[in-house]
Amino acid sequence: VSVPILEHSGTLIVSLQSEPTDAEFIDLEAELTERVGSSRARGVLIDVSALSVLDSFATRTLREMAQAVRLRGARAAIVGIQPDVAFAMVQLGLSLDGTLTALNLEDGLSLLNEATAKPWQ
Amino acid sequence: VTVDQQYRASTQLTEAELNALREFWQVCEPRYDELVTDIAADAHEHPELGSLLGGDDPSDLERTHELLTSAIMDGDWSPYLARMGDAGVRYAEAGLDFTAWFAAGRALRSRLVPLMVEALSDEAERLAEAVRGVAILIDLVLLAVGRSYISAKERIITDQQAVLRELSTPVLELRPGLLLVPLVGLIDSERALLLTQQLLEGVAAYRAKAVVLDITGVPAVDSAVANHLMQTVQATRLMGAHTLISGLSAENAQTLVRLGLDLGPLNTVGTLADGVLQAAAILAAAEDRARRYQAIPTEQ
Repeated sequence: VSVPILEHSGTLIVSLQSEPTDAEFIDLEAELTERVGSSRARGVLIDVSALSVLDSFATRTLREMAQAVRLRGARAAIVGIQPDVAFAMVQLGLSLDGTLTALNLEDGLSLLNEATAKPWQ
Repeated sequence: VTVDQQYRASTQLTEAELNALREFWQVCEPRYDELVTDIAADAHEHPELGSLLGGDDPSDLERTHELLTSAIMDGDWSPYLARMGDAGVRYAEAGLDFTAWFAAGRALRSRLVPLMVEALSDEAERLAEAVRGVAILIDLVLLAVGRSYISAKERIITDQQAVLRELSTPVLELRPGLLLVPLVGLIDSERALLLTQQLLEGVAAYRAKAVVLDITGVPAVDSAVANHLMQTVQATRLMGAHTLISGLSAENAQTLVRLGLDLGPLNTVGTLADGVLQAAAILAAAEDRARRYQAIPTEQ
């Protein structure tokens, strides 16, 4: 995968720097779902603060990724959605229901920490 | 055809109209000063008359006279009509009634027509032309004044709308991480979009964790408004903030239920006070979460 995946105390961190293609999104989803098991991560955090667009395909893939990661015993958080992007998403009726969302990396990490502390809830 | 084009077209005079105006001016100009003095007598009743032929200032009088002469004799109407237009703008800005100008036009006509009759009583054809000239002049003046009056009014309205739009969705920081948006008045689509945009900018700028959207002052909440609110709530959620809606009246609550809307994502609380309390709890939970996260040793 062209996007680097960092690991930090049990959390996989991906920072998307430029709009990935649809194929890259699918690769990323597969890679993250795999890595959750191999590195025994409990959280996955995707930073989209550098993106100015999140289209319906990207949104759906992120949502599916979060669900798949959850089935593998971890939780996913999307952080850094920009005001314009959030506005466009609700206008288009796109939602990220079921994923954690936070303003920035710091908030996202603490959210994940809380969500993974009691995974049975 | 734009308004400007239409205006230009209606100030384009035919040769016959120009002749009529010249006929009028031949009689009027030698007696201009006398006319102005006469009109000064009417001016306490119609202050607009002053600016038609001159002004309070003698130098204004001289200038208006010159402009009117070059307009009628050389066909150079723009400076004179622009001067009349300025009067229209002044009237609009002072909030004075435009209809006063019609009364002034009538008063001017009743001064000018006897003048024409007196000078040209033996020449029926020239008299008819001159009287027609009076009518054309007054029409042109009213047109120029009216046009600038209306465009000045429209500008005032646009400015006020912009101010109201700004005021309509204030995003206030109640304390660090907690925003308050008091909404007053009807919410239409345009306002709802603006609200969402400004709130999202606010969430980013203030790093807000909780937002209280108070709709106590919104008289009617129908399905359109409810959908807009839902979008706003979801958009802030995407940015990691929780939005609470406070002040939904009993009447509006019943309406929404009867409409059968799924208001699942809408966190509603009774009053603004409840909203602020709950928002504070959300903030406290977030702070708690951050503290616990920071307390984790990095080596696991």
